[in-house]
Amino acid sequence: MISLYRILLRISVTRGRLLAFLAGGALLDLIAYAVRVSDYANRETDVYQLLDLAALALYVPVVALVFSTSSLGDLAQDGTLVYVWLRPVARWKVVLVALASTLTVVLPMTLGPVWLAIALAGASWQAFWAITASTTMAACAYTAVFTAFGLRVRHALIFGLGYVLIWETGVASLGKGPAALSIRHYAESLLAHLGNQTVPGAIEADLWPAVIVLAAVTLAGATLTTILLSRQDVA
Amino acid sequence: MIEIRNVAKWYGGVVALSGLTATIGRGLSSLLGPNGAGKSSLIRILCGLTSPSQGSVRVMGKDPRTSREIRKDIGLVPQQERLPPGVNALEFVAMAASLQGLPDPAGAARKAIETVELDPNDRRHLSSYSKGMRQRVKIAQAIVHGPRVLILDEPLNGLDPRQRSRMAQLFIQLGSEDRCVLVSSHVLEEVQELSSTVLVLAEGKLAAEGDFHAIRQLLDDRPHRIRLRSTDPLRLASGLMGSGTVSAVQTAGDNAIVIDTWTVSPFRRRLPRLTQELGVRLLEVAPLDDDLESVFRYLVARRSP
Repeated sequence: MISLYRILLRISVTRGRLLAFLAGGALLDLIAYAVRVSDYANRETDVYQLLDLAALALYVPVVALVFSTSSLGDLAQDGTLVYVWLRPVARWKVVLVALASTLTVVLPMTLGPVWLAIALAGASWQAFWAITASTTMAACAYTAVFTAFGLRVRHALIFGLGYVLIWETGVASLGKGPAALSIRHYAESLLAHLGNQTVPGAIEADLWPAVIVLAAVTLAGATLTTILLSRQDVA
Repeated sequence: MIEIRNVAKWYGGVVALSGLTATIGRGLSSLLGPNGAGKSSLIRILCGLTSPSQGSVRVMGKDPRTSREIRKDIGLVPQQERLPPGVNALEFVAMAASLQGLPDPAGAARKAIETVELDPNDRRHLSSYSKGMRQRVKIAQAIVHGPRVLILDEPLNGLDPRQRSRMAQLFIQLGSEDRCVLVSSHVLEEVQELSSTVLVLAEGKLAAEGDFHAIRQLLDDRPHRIRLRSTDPLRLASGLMGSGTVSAVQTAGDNAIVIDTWTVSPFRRRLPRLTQELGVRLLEVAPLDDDLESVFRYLVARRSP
């Protein structure tokens, strides 16, 4: 399975993607530094708002979307899935390897800029732990959901971007109802509770329901991917 | 080893396979048919990559769609050319060996790559390989675990004549080793080289089956339509009708006639002598229905009730 992990990793990590997301991460860090120099007194609150709006609502889901839809999804689209599918390996193991290889890229790509943003903004250690936990859980949930999405939907990247931009960053902020159906909502709740800080504009859920929902979404995404892979018509 | 019972496959309103029943045993067999005949659909069903819309398939007694066990015994060379980007041949074939659960994936991969006459130490990515080399890598990943059922979808595509001949010899050898090897092709000459049992598929139906010589006989034993252009078409037409080698003659303009014959070999032998006797100069002889697709269409029509 190690060889499959390596190959999936190599397929999804391209120079273009890395450069694009490094640029995105650098922009986040630049804004974090601007927060520090422009409003030092309220920087902690401003940093939480920045991490919610820029990282949890946009950067983390987009990074997860790009790498997740390209792991099994690209194989299914270009016909190379057959080389994995026609092997005597349990489907759940293939899915686990795909998720592990995707998270190997997604976690450093998201946590790196976020940690740097915390440092540049001069925020507290509590903020560091809070954003680490919320980013990790959100990345896992998005990765699991988008891997299933990539396997099932053609042009998953375009539709996924639509979902992130319209639902996660837009509609989910309008009230408790839509927020309950948004991964970002639970991630920002986690950020607020662990950081013991109010996130301006966030609709908060309780701590443990947020943790349980994020874990459940990850598990559901992985299970759905396994089912879809088992029933997949392979070209 | 492979049992196909009344299998049909349709995609929306398009019928790819219709009521197909056949048994494929040990040894080398060929699946012959024109493009679009349903060969790849059948192969996907045999490997469990898709379900039949109707009927059933058993490979060594198991359903290939649901049985994980049977995948240990199946090797497939798919038709599509694409291979994973960013990896070399050894990594790719070793991945196949590892997923098959072999104890020494790298060793098995090296051996399989050498079997298809490639260099396992070549570190270039597969994307830089020629079409023929990629085709051989696909064969290597299919044979790396020594499957008892080996299915190859147009495996000789893209190979030069020398490679084609070497790979054909490899398939013959694999077929002689107590395993079932099924090779699909739309080229009659490729099947001839394999000298195997042949299943002819056309328009989603089994048009004929038997050894190659029986199939060749079937292909010849059919009405042929030939266009003849000469200096005196009416005199030639009358002479041919009297020779007993043609069943129908019609004029076609431009000094041409079109004849139908059931006995193409005697007709070909008689024609030069006849033109000489009649004092007619033959300007052109053109078979009108010798392409393989029209032959397959004829076989399907002949088999239909």
